[in-house]
Amino acid sequence: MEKGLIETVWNKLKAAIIEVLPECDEQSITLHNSLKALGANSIDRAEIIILTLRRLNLKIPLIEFAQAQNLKDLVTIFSRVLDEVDG
Amino acid sequence: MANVSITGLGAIGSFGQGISALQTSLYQGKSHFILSPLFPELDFPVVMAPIIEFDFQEALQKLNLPKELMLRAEKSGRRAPLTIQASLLAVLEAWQQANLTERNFCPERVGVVVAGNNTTQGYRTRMTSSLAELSHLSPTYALHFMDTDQIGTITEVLNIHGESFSVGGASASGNVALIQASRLIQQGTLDICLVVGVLADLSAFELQAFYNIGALGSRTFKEEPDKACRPFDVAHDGFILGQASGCVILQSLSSKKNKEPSFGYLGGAGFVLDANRSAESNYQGEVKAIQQALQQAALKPCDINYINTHGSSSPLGDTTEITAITAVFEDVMDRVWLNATKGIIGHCLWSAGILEAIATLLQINDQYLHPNLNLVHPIHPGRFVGQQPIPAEIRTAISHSFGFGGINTSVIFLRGENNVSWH
Repeated sequence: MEKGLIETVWNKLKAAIIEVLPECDEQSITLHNSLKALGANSIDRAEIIILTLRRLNLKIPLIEFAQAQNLKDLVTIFSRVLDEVDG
Repeated sequence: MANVSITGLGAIGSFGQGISALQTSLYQGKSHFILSPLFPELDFPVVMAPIIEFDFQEALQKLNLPKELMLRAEKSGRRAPLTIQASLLAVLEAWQQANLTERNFCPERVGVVVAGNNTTQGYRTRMTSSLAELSHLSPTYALHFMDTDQIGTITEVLNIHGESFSVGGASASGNVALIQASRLIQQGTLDICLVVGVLADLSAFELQAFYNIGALGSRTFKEEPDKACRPFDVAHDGFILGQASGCVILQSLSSKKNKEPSFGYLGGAGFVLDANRSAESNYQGEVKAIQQALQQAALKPCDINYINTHGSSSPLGDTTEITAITAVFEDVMDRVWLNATKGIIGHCLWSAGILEAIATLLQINDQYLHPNLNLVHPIHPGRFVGQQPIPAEIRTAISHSFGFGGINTSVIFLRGENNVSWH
């Protein structure tokens, strides 16, 4: 998988988090952190994911994200599907 | 009903932000109608008085609210639809004016009644029309599409726990909300009730439909938008849309602790249906609503100084209304002043009744009557205010609102002891 692809995903996810949670400290948006720990409630979490999907032009059922524990897991899910679409 | 006092007012619309801006527009007879570029998909001209463009954060700052309240309002309203942001700005202005930012109140004794149904049509169209994938629809649509998002947001920002709901009455929603709110106060359920008129955020579908049934005006004056809205004039050709949000705060007299100036009182109301689902106005229903209001307020026609008409610039609507007024006021018709606020700010649909209540109270308090714009050849005799404002001592006024579906409402306002002036 291209490094550039993962970086694109990470940037879009980060931007979505900042947009939905502007009070959140940008320094704390790291791969090991989780949306919940950043202060996102269930609607915020769904919104961040769907915003990212829209901007990546991807279609992934929300249920695929249910097991994600942290932002790294989210990036992995987005990147894997984006890679399949691009490839 | 004279134990229901009005203690706060707030507004935002085509006239600008705030009650002072509304007052200036009314007094000067300055309207803000334009040929709207917002609906390129429609093949007829849309003249309207759109709400001013505003940045929510900047608009909040203009209110000079206590910091904590401002932060809560910003957080709750930052990504909310236009209709929510406009309501919040009107509500917060009224809240501050009623001194509710300073005084203690019991949250369970304060409630909100929101005037308007189907208030999210414009929002819905914007959120869905550019979606490549339905699955990309923002999850917040689940909350925002409901009218009750207004209730949830306002009570969250202001920490309100009392009974609150939205009401619908089409173009009479504002008066319907005032009536329901005053009942909550009179029956002892609430001490304070915020009554909020929602901005009319229509999509092209509603405008097309209004045009198709012949209700929408401006066929004749599309080249001169400022001349299109002409309540009671022979050249009226349909209603002209206005966008505004307004808030009126009602309070029971018994819960008022000190002699704060109040903007007036609700004196009584009439609320009569025509048993008719059509858009057509009905003379009998309007007459009965006015008579019911007078009866409830224990007043006679000769006691009324001024009528804030529904005056929508609709040929049938204007004719029906002036005929009904003439029938009720008969011998004193030459003593009752008449004007139409819609001539200056347009027909604000769900919030019309609230904006017109505010206009009525501003005129009562500042002792003037605003002009009737574009009233060149009245369709019927009546004591219409001319093209300039006039000084007037108004003690008792009626505001009419009539809605599609045969909804007729009249609300009576009485002057308070301590007038509040914006000048």
